[in-house]
Amino acid sequence: MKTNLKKFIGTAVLGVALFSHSILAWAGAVSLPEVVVDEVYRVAHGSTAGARYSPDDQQYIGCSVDNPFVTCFAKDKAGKYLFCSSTDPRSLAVVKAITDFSSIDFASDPGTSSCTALIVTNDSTYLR
Amino acid sequence: MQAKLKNILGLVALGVALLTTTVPTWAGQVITGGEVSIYIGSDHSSAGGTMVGARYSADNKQYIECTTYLSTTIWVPLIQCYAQDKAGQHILCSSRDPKFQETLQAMTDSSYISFQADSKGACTDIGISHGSNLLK
Repeated sequence: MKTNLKKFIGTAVLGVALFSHSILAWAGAVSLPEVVVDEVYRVAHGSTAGARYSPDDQQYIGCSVDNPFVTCFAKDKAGKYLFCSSTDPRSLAVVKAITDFSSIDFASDPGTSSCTALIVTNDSTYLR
Repeated sequence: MQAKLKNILGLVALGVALLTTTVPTWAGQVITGGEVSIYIGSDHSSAGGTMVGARYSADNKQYIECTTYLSTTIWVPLIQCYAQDKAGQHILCSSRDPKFQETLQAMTDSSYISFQADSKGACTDIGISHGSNLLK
């Protein structure tokens, strides 16, 4: 009986020791916004990590560069898709800041699908 | 005898498990801390911290971020940086200077970021450092 108790306590201590490594790894402010596409207002928002590690296998967000063309695209978990494109050199400067911990916002002109707004935020809380 | 052997194997497995989780923590030089610090003065303010230090701090208050903007329809700053420390103190700076936008392109998930703002909240300096010792 005493041996069993010792074993139980040992296992519990081991469990806490191993678990505490994980706790430290996940402390701190964190926010991983998933992709939201509004087809009416033609705006999209989401974070690279939030999309990549979302539970579904639909959503993504990003931008591609084929100088001077910049294209930003997003698909949310419901399958709604939006893109915008630009040849404005300023859009290239914004897109160059994208990392694996960015949030991306863009607005697409209803007539031409050109990017009317493009915002990239790199934030410690977007780190996974 | 078989029970003893089982115990020994169990202990060996435990030892290996503990060793493998501890070894990476101590390999190479790592700058610990790197949490967000903020100075607020009468004529200028400043903030600094690492992405890793802020993200993996023990509290859930602190963070540091920088944003780059483009709008063809409304006025926006080119860039904006914001930091909040664990006490909830925060500062913000914004600018339309393209040199700062270029600086922000150097941000990575292991950067140290510092910025200064004048009394009106305009960015007067933004610095980004990288180093192996800033990696998580």
